[in-house]
Amino acid sequence: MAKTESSQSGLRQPRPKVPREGLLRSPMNMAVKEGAAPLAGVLLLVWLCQQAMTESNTLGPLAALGFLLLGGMAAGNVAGAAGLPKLTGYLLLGVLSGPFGLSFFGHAAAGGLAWMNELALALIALQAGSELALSQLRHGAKGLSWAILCHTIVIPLGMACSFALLSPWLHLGGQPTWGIALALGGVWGALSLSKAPADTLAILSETGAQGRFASHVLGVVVLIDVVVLVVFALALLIAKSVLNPHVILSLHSLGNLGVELGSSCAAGVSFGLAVAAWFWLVGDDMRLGTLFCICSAFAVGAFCRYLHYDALLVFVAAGFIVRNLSAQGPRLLHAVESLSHGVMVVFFATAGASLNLTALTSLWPVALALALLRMGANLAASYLGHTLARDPGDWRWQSHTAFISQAGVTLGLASIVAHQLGAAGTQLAMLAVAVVGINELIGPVAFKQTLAYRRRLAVS
Amino acid sequence: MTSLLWLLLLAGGGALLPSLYSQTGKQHVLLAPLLLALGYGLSPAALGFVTTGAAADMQPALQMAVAWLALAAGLQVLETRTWRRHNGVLAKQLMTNILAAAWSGLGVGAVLVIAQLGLTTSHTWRMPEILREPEVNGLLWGWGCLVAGTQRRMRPADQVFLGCLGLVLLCSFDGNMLGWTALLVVGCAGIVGLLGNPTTSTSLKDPAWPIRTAVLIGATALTCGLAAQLGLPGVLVGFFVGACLKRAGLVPATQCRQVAASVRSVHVVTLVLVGLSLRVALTHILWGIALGVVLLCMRLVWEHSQHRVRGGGRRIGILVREDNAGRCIWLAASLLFVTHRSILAQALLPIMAIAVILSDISLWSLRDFAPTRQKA
Repeated sequence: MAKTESSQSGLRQPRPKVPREGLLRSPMNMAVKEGAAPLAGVLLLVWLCQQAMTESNTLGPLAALGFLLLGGMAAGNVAGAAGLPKLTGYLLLGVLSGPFGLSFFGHAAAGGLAWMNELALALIALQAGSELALSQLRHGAKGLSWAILCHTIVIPLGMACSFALLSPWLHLGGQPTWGIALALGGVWGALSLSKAPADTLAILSETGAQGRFASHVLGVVVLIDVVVLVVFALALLIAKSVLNPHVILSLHSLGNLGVELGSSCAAGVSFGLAVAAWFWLVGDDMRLGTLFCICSAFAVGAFCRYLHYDALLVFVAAGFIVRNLSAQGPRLLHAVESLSHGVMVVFFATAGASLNLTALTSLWPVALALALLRMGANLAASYLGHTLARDPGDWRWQSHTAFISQAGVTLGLASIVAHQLGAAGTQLAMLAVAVVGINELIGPVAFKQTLAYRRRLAVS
Repeated sequence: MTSLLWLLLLAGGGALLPSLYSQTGKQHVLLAPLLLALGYGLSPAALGFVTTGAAADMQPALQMAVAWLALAAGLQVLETRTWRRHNGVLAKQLMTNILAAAWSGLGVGAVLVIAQLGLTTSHTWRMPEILREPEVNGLLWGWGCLVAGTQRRMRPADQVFLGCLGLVLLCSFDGNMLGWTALLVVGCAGIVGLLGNPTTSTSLKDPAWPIRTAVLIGATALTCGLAAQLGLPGVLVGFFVGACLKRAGLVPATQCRQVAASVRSVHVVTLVLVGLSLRVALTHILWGIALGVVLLCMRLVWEHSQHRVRGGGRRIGILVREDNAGRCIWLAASLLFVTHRSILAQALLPIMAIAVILSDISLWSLRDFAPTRQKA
C-alpha cells in the first residue's frame, strides 16, 4: 500500500539497504584483498627495489624484518583462505624468499633477526605454561602420564631400529657396524622424540580450540620437550662412547643435566612469582604488562645462557605458576597474545628461511622415508598411550597429528650432534634438517585438519 | 651483552624514563644530554660495557627508531577536511616558517661549509656537490623537522613547508630519487591499507589492534630498510608514508594517538643509541660548540625579530619552551641514519650531539630567568 502511494505521488522509493560489508567480506574477496594483493604488492616492491640496488641486491636485516612481517601476514591470510594453517603461509614465505630459496635476503639478515627468535621462544613458552591449567591436567593426568611414557619408549626405540636398518643408504661414512648404527640410531630416536610446542600453540590459537583434547596435546608437547633433553643427553653419551673408545661412559653428565633441569624449574617458579607480582601491581595497564614481558624475555634469556639453564623450561614453569598459583593468569595471557601476533609471523618465517632446501633436495628419498616412519611411530605411541589410559576412542587416531611438527628444538639438538659426533654427526644433522623440513610442512596442516574434523563432529 | 642492552633500552624507554621525561608536560631539559652520555658511557669508545659487535648489532634498531619517529610525525598531519578550514592563515604561516628555516639554515649551512673545509683533506668541493651530499640533505630535512616536525599536532603551514622542503630536496638529487621515494611511499601505503583493514574502529580492546600495529611496524621497517639500501633519506620517506596514510584515512585516529604516545619512549631509545655511536674527538667538540652557539644565536635573533621581546631572560625563556633538545637529537639521528658511510657524516654526528648538549645545558642554566608561559 505504501509503495503504491509513493509511486503515485512521484517520490523515489529508497533502495533497500544491501549489507555491503557482508558482500565485501566474502571469503574469496577477503583472500584477494587481505592476502594475495598485499603479498603481490610486497613482492613487487621488494623486487623493484632490488633491481635498483647497486651494492648488494639482498635485503638487510631491517628491510628483511619488514618484508617478513608484511609478507608473512599476507601469506598467512592466503593460506588461511585456502584452508591451511596461517603458520604454513609464514613458513612457505620464509622458505621461498630465504637464502635457500629466491634469496630475497641472505644468512646475514636472517642472523640479524635472531633477537626476534629469542623473544618469540620466550612468549611461546610463557603462553604454553599459562595454558596449562592444573585442574585440567589433574583431570587428564592419567592420559598424560601414559602418553609421555609411551612416546618416550616407543619413538626412540622404533626410530633407532629403523635408522639402523636404513643405515646402508644413509651415507654415514664407510660401512658402520651394527653397534655404531644402533648408537647413531639412538641419537636419531632422541631427535625424533622432540616436538614443536610453538607450532602446536600457534594452531590452537588460530583455531581457538579448547577443552580436554587441546589441553592434552599441549601438555604432552610441552612435557616431552623436557623429557627429550634427558633422552638426548643419554643417547649422545652412548654414541660418543661407541664412536670413540677413549670416551668412558659415565653418568656424571646426566647428573649435571639433572641439576640444570632442577635449577631451571626453581628459577621458573621464582620468575613466575615475580611475574604475578608485577601484574598484580600494574593491574590492567597492558602497556606495562607487555613491556614487562618483552624485557623479561631478554633478561631471563641472558640469565639462562649465563647459568646454562633451559630457558624454555624456565618460561613454561613461570607461566604455569602464574596461571595456577595466582589470579594474574588472564592478564599475562592477554599481554602475551597481544604481543605474539607480529612476533610469531617473523619467527615462523625466519624458521622457514633456515630450512635447508639443498639438503632436502639431495636427501629427500631417505628423509621422506624417515619422516613417514616417525609419523608411524607417533601414531603407534599415541594409540598405545590412549588405549592404556582408556581415553576416548577417537583420540587414538587423532592426537598423533599434533606431534608431527618439529622445529627449533630439533634443529638445536641437531647442531649439537654435528658438533660432537664428527662426520657421522654432520650427516645425521643434515638428515635431521631435511626431515624437519618435511615435518614442518606436513605437521601443522594435519593438526589443523584434525581440529577442524573434531569441530565438525562436535557441531553435528 | 646485546640482550641486556635491549633490556635496558626497552625498560628505560618504555616505562621508567617517560615519567622523568615530562615535568609539567614538557620535556626535561637535562634528559637528552644525560641519555646521550649514558649511551656514550656504555659504548666501546668510552667504558666499553657494550662491545663493538653489539653496538653494530643495534644499528637496525636505531634506524627503526628514527623511522618510527618519522612515521609518527607523518601521522600527525591534519586530515584534508581540517586542513581546508585553515586556508585563511595558511600563506602567512607558511611564509613565516620558510623564512625561519631559511634564516636558521643559513647559519647552519655556513658552519657546515666551514666544517667541511676544516675536516676534509681535499678542498676541491663545489657548491652543487655539497647540496647533493646525503648528509646535507639529511641536515636540511632534519632542520625542517626541528622547526615543525615534533609538535603535538602539525599546523597546515608546517605540513606544506615540510612537504615542499622534502620535494625540493628530492628534486635536488635527481628524478630517480623522486621516483623511488614515490614508489616506496605509495607501495607501503597501499599494502598497509590492504592489510591494516581500516574500516573497523580501533581501540586497545579491539582484537585487530595488535595486527594493525604489527602492520605499521612492518611497513616502517620495510620502507626505512629499503630506503637505506637505495641511498634515499629514510626519515623523509618515513614521514611521507605517515602523511600519506593519514591523509588517505588509512590509519584510524585512535591508532595515530597510540603511535604518538609511543614517541617519547622511542625518543629515549634513540638518544641512547645515538650515544652508543658517538666517537668524540677534540675537533668535533670544538665544532660542536661552534654549531651550538650558532643554533642558539639564530633562534634567538629570529624569535626576537618575530615577537619583539625585550630582555635576555625573556628571549631565553622562549627558547626553553621550544623543546630544542629533542628536535636536535632527531636531526642528529637522521644524520646518522642517512649517512654513516662518509667521513663528513661521521664527524657531523658528534658535532650535532655536542651542539645539543651545549644548547641544552646553557638553556638549563638560564632557565631561572625564563618567564611564565605567554599567551599566544
